[in-house]
Amino acid sequence: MTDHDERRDIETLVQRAKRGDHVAFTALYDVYAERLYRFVRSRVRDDLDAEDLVQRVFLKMIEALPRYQERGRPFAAWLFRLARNAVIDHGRTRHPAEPLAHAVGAAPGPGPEEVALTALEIAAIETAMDALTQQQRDVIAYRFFAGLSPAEIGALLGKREGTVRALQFRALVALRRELAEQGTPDRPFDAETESIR
Amino acid sequence: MTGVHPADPLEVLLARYAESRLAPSTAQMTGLRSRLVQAYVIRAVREPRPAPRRIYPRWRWAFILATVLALTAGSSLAAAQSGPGQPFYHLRLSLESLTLPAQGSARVHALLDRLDARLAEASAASQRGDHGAAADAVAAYEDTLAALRASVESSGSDAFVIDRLAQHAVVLENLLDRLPPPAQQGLQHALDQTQRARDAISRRPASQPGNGPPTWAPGASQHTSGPEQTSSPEPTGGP
Repeated sequence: MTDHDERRDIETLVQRAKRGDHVAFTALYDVYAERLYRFVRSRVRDDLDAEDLVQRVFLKMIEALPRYQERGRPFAAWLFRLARNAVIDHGRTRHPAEPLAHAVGAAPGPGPEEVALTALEIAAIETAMDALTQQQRDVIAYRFFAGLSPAEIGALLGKREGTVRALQFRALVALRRELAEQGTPDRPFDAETESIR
Repeated sequence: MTGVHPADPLEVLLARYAESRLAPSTAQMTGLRSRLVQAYVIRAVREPRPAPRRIYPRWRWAFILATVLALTAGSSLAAAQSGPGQPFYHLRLSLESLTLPAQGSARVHALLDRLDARLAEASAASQRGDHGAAADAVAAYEDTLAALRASVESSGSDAFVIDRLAQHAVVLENLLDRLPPPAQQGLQHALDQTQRARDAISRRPASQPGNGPPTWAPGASQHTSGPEQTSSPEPTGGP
């Protein structure tokens, strides 16, 4: 399925959900809930906050859906803008902006999948992420944690797709450099060999 | 993930990190899903989605209808008072044509009445020196004459029609002398058409009995079917 087909399918679901079709709403939840959660989870203190924020984002979506109009902007961009605003509000009202290493490190405990990732690697990534600029962190989170396309990120941030790709490139270079400076065990990252995709 | 290249070790590491550190548990997602769908359904039931915005709300249709009616009424009023040479004259004739009987001798009679009216208008216009209006009325006469010919062929009524057209020819000839050369051309054409119509009707088989009055008196039409019977065409005689 092409990006165009996928986007058309999503818009069809959105239109049905606007008319009160709960099956369509459930399908939209299934498409976006986990991706929203990953994005939010990378920005807040713990799982409970993340779950609470994702719920708030969807409730806001239910409220705002009747007024939603595509206008050439992907639905994902609209939805993640709600999420970004929710995260910003959460940071203002409850917790100051927190480094990723502290935020994720406060999680109750490693899940079963975490066995595949060493504690050293996790710590290295989180420390390296904290060294990035806010914009670079955002692009990494949208692209690699939430799985948004450069076009969707561009629509979300109000930037051109090419600009987003360049931002992503610089973020990965910076991340690779940070990881290299930390001296990860097998040093798999070479800051000089990254290319723009 | 969407559009993420899997070959780059750093991107693979980020994907594994997201999977192991940021992914929600199945229980979390299931519970959240249940709560949100419930909230969605409750809202959908309590507050039905608004209907798509109408381009033309009801009040606007009413306004449009009222405007159309007002325009129609105004135009009809103006047309009813319009004579030849005036802007609504042809609109008036078109409206009058809507009141004509559909077929049969009734239609023939009505058309003859209209021919009388057009001749009366042409004569009146000629007398007051309005040659444009006279030409307008003569052109309308020709149009009505064509309709009459078609109706006579289908109705079989012809004897009294020939008589009436003979009288019309006399009036037209008198008008011919009074109009200036530019208007005479149209009048001559109408005269020719009248003669052709008479000839064509005369060549048809004899009409059936009882088809209308055999004679014609100017201004004394027996089948008034429109508002135009206000004056009579000139019978014979010059100015």
